[in-house]
Amino acid sequence: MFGFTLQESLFLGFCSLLILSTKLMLRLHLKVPGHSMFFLILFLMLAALCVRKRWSATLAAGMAGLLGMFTGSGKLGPLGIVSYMLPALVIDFCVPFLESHRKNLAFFAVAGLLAAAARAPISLFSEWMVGMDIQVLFMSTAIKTGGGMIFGALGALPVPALLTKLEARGLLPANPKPDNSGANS
Amino acid sequence: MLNGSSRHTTRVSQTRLILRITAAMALAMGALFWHGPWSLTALTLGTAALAVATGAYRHPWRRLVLVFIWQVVLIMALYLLRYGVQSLPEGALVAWRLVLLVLPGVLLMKTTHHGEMARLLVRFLPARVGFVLSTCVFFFPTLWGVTVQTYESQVLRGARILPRELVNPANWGTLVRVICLPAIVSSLVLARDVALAAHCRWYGLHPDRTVWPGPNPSNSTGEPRA
Repeated sequence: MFGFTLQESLFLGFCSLLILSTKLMLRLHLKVPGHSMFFLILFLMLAALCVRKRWSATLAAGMAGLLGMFTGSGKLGPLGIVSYMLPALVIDFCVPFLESHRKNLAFFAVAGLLAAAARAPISLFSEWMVGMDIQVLFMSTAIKTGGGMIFGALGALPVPALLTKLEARGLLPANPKPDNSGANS
Repeated sequence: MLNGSSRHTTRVSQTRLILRITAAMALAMGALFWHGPWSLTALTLGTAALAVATGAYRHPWRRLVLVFIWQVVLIMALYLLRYGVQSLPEGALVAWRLVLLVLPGVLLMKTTHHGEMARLLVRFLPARVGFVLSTCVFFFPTLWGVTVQTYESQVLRGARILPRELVNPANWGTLVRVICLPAIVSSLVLARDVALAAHCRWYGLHPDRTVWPGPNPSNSTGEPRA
């Protein structure tokens, strides 16, 4: 499907479900704005770096948006899909840099920050079209995405360590998976 | 999935659902793009009509109103901060328009049974996407059960990941190392096993949906029937 084997699509689907369920769980515990970005960036980066194909994070985000709509937590409907896919596009764009600099934590943190900041254009655009004044617009977007950016950077930090542990167990081949069940879907 | 909305939603036919979705999208697009003289009044009336048509007044709406109130208060506070008291009416109009932008979608989502929405979407998506999504949802409780067991075992081992200990950010590293890593490993292994099982049942032989032979196959070779 879209160039992914069945095994990879299923793994991305499981990642997206993990994103949704951790978001649900966090909503019950913490009340800080933007905290759901921690697990979102974490699992999207892991999905993109475990499946070394081009649009893997975007596919995971698309599935997360669709499944969010199915399971009733989709407050925004189609706009929710876009709000997941914009950070995923940033992560997909950064994957070549991240793969060649695996030990550099700062790169990962910056990538997480940018990915979380990718949610800003949605609120910018909708509030601008609605006619909000420019300065109020910037302040409101800064409030909404500021917390998200901090949590995004934090969420990107564990990813290199997790990747080295996964490689140590032999679960991540250096090339796209040789141990799949053969046929492409 | 985990919310209690299914006891409030009734099932509607697919055409009525498509009509409701079109109406909600038209209202949301109108709130975004139509700024004419009577637009706010018309859009408010339209949204109220949608609310009545979908039966949203029967739902617990107080929690919803709370979320919107927070947003309205934030916007008005920002206007107050930046421009002073005389800009409050303008801020109120902008906030109301934002509410009208989000409200039709929320009304639709809250009143539609998620199975109906899933069935409608799966009609338009390619068959493989539907298979992957439904398989993931089917096997996710397995994955979640393994994760919960891992969590409880780790707490018994002494990992500091109880909710009251998670307020301290120093324990988040433990949480990630002890829960997220096994979750990713389990999902990798589960994805490989499910894909192997599907390919053993000749998944991918036909481009469209097929059905694995039931208990009484008429042909003994077990070829998939489309």
